[in-house]
Amino acid sequence: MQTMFARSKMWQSRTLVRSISTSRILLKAKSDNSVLLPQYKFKCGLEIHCQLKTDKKLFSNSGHTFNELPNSRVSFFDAGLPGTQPLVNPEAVLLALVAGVSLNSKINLQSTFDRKHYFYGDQPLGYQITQHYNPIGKGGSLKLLKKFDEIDEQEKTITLDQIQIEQDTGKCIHVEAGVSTNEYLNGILYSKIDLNRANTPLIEVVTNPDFDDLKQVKAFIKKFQSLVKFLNISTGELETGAMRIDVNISINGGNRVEIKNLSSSTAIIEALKYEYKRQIKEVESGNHISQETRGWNGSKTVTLRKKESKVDYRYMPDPELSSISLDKTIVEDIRTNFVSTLPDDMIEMLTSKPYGLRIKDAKLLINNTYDGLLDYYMDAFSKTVGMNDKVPSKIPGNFILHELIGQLGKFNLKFSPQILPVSKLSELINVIYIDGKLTNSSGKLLLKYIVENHDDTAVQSMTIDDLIAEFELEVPEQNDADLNLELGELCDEILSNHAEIVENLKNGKKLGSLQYLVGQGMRATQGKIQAKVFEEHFKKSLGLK
Amino acid sequence: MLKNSVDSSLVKIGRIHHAHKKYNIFTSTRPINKLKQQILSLNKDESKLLSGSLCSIKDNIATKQEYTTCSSSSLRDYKSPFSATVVDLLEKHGSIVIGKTNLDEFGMGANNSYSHIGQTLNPMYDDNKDSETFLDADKYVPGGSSGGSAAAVSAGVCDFALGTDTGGSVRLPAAYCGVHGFKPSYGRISRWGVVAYAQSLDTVGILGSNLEIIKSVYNVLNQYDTKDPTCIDNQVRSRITALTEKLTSIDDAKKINIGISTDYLAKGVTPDTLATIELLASKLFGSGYNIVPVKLPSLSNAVPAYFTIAYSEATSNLSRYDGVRYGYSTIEAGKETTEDYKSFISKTRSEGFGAEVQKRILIGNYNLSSEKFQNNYLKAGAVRKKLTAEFNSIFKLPNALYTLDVQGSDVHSPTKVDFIIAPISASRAPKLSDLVEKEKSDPISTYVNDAFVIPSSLAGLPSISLPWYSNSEKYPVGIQLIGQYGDDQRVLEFAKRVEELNSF
Repeated sequence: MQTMFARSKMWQSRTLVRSISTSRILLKAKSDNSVLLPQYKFKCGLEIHCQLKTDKKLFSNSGHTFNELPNSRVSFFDAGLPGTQPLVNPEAVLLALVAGVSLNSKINLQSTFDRKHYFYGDQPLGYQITQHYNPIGKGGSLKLLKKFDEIDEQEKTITLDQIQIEQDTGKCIHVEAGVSTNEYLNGILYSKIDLNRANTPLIEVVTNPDFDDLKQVKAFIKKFQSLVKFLNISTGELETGAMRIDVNISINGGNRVEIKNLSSSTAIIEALKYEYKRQIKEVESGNHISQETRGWNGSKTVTLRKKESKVDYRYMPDPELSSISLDKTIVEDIRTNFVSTLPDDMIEMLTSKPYGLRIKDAKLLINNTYDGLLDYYMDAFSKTVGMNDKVPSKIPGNFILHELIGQLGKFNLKFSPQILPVSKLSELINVIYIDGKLTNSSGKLLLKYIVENHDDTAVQSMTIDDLIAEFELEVPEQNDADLNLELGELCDEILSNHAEIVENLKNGKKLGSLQYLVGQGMRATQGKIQAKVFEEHFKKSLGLK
Repeated sequence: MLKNSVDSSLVKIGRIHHAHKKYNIFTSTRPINKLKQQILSLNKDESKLLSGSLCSIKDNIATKQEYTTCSSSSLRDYKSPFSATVVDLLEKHGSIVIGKTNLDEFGMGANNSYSHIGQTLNPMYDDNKDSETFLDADKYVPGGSSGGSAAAVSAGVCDFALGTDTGGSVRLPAAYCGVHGFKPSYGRISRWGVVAYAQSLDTVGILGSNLEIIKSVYNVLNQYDTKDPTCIDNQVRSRITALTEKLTSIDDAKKINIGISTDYLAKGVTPDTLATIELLASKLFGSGYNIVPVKLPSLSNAVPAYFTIAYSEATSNLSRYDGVRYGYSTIEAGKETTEDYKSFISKTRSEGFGAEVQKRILIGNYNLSSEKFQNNYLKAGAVRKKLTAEFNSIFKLPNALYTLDVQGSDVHSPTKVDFIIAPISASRAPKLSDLVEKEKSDPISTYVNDAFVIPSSLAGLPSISLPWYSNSEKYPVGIQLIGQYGDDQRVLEFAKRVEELNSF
């Protein structure tokens, strides 16, 4: 009775554990969308600002690099000095075109620049040069797929309103001065202005309010980021501010509320959830949703600007910048030279033969989270699998995405092909799978050793063969009679030490425990003998097939 | 190369202080001692195009040595870290800058009255130039906005001066002060370093005491500058050359057609001015030139279109003067610190800009406001296009900026012309006392002259103001010769022929 009770309790607690873990999984899967209620239709659009990866600024020759000394990357034009004039940086136009073509936008062959007027400390000209009347791209779309982007629908197309080129502003840092020897600063609020970012090229991409749920929003942001990274248009980083996203949201077709100051995709999703709930609450208490701009303070959205106090930007065509005149063949030229492969095509390719990567791994390669990793992988693949089909196709992926990236993480290193040159990695893989001179586990140890000692020139200068010799890792020749004898003795010893397992195996039970015995052999030989050698020995001794 | 003797140059710079004291010409002058040294150390064998010539620079053109104030309190202590391309070119070709000249603040004005250093006066009507005394009866306005530059040439302290012409600002003061003032085609001369008033119209112009010096300076400055996006490139320059080469030589008067448009003469022209134009026409006719009446119906809309465009652009361009990075700011002036940037900026701008500039900014903002923009700014642009098309239809020379199919129809002039002659102003330079009176009683009156000079600005045409002398009057009046876009060289050649006719 007692045992029964105990058992049933155990069973209960197990179910409990299971139900918790299942609900966690479920929760995770639908958490973002679970706030949405069918009677309140969620509708949302995005406005994305994306810094272009150009060497120079949009209308001047100053370089724009991140994290430079404040005001050290400022030309006369950037500072808005009298008598200066803008000159369009063709590189920025090119990157905007790459973005436009990859997003299926209709490229305007005569786009023009306009001035958007407003005063602010970080706006040196008193206006921003943008494209209001004739932007470089009209319309466009980005298609989300269930199989790649984790949305609920098989596919969902988000359409774009337009793509425009514009200048970034400088930065204002508001400070409260303490007691200062400077009489002007003593105890007052003041702003520090850094113009390094001023006149950095941006594209602004405005989507239509096509998003029906939060998963789509999340998926779009991820996909957009990976697109601009993959095509080298932008770093796409939200954390550094290289990409900034404003959202607009309405419920049941009511007034739109715009939300700014969103610094991460989590902030975007959280702000949307909050704002959705807030609007429902307003409607349910009989209030009217007013069209306004709100900000996100980390826990809620707060009013920044009501519609009535909207600034009139007094748009005016720039009187000295001529239109960007493009050749009729530009779209085809851009497509052929810069947009021949899109991230989805690449994922499709990497997850099919001969590569056969998992979607997750393929995405990791194209996301440019690790700059140059895709090229590194492709190179390693062709130098290993591509050379000899003895190397299984998943091996380069395993070594790079799991072993190498794992070790880099452990030692807190950024990916760089210099740490483990492709040639060396390929040599390592080939030595294991083609030559059979090294076991897989010794190979992984060597990889770790190389990463750990990446700045030791002595280690760097050693070839894989040198390293194998140094650590005596070479797999002994199999036909060596002495070795065979020794191995036979070792295997016998292992078998006699594990009588129960042997018994089971002989009876055809728990066949998986053979691997345990192999493991014992590997441990005893410090991984120098390949697993399959032990496996063969044991099978022979036990009469298994 | 200019044949300026050292002696005559020394005489000129010797007059600077006296002239400035009397006419309030300069916002700053370079030290006389240093100028003297520069003149004395000139290499006599040097054969640069402008060797030893003395010039004044309008103070809305950036120089590194002194302040570039635009005659505005907002930039009274602003020193540019770079100099304008035009200044670099002049110095490279041997010219000596003597100082920066007064203007209507940022170029906004036609009498040189709106300057934070005060009114510049017209030296031409001063009958006692060498004397300290200056009778009120002799005080005339110099015209604007390049009034200081015209006065500097007229007072004989330099050989030439640079001005800027947005809507007549070189030609009008040249006419009022009895000197030559040339506004080249828009985009011929670099504007890098020229402080923008309304840069779709702003053109660097040359004021000089004779045509020769204007030609020499023009030849030096007529260069493509990669720094200025509106400066015409070498491709367009060669296209213009190719087009002009097809035209007949200026020497064959019988083949040259001179256009006169009654549309220019319609408004408020004094009999005096009208008589001058008639006389000029008859002299040209007598020399074998063909006189052709031309119609420019859009001229009647030119003035409102001009002010809509110019004020809107000015509003935009002057937005940068917020006191944050340079120039006048309300904190630096030791006034109360303001709590937020909006009141800081508006206070700075209210204190830094003069009344006329503020008025124009307000009107410009009105035209740019989202309700008015479609109506006003874009409509003005359409008038401008139409006017340009009308000019294109009456000139023999095709406009190099347009493809042939949009040159305009021939309806306005069955006989195409080489040049157009027109007045510069309705009347002579007003007396200072009259101006003050007139502005009070009739503020619109100051815009009357704009009708003569603005059309060339809107269409970007090369136009020159020449002093025309007569038997009956002591002082010359200005006449205007206008050519097709890009035809600058021939306008200058024709000007020479016209001057030869002005003998009696």
